Amino acid sequence: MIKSSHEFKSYGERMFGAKMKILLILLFFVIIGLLFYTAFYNTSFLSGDIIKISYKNTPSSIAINTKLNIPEFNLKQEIGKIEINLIGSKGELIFGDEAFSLSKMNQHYLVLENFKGNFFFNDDKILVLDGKANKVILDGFDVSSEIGRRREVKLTQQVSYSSLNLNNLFLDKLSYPCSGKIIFGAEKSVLNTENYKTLFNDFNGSIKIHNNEMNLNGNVESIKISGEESILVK
Amino acid sequence: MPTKKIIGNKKKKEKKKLNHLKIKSTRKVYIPFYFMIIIILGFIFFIKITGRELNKTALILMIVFIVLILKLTEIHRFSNSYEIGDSSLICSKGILTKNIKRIDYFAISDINVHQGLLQRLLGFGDVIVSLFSFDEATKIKNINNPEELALKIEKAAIALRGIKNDKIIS
Repeated sequence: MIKSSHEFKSYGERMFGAKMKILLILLFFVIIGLLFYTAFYNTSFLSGDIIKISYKNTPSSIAINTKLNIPEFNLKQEIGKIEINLIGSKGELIFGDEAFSLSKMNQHYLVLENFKGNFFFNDDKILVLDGKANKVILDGFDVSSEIGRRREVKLTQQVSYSSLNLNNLFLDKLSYPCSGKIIFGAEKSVLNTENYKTLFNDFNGSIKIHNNEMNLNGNVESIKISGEESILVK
Repeated sequence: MPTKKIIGNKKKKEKKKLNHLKIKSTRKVYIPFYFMIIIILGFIFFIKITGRELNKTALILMIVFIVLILKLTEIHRFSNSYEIGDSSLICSKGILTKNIKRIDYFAISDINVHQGLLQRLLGFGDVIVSLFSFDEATKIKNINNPEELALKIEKAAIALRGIKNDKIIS
């Protein structure tokens, strides 16, 4: 075996040594694994939004549970899961290249997972549902053919609903004239509002709408109620 | 004749160029790493055309990976250079700090060529220059056409020895 006498290792050789090569190979497999996993199984894994939500869920946030009136929502964002009980249905649900008629039955149960797009609704109707979702379940049947792929989803017409659940939701600001009850923590403090303009800052949690009542369940950074006297809960 | 002179000068220049042949390691040695970049870019292209979600973290890691590979391979390549001179083989290492080794052709005892499987497939290899005075050898790593280089060093060494021998005889 011939030994090399030129033992001096240059900066380049030291930088691109065996350890660095192993590190680069490992990094390559990590990137491929991450791309593969997020593309085929879980799109929201380690995405910016998850990081944002976890960042907002700081120890200083307040746990709330509300029973309030329903404002008109114009959401243009990502929502982890949407569950809707549609009634008196008309129009079509379009998912990818397929269209599902909603006029065959009077009631439909629709679930959208990892939704991203426009979701506008008021206390009675879904006004706009137009975006992309990973998984769509209509009346118990999973109509999404490919796992992990986000495809276009749309309601062609405004549809009434009886109940609505939005899970894994982050709202940086929600402000409207509130009427109802805001319960803090483990039901130790209750705040009643009567048509006072209320601002919820950095809400992170779920919204349930049922029987003309909105239940915000999650954490907020602060709540500001502007009435005869302003109240700030932090 | 002026035309003959020009041709003569060109020949001299070519001869001089051959005598001072500068060699760098081939980029072929980094082909496995370039291939990794192609695989990642291909995978991203597939994700985009199939409408799947492209993970932001993976995208950042990918950019870091590509920059690292391109930077490190180029630094690595530029840190080693070899020169076949009139009387010696010059091996220089380093970019900021330099380590230059001159191997006199008189001191060369053997020249070996080594090619692994990948090196043989891609047409590059190592030239190992052994010296009389040492048990060890100097490795000229990852050179295109290593046999040709070995032959050039051998020719240069033989030519120099021939001149010296002639001088001794006279």
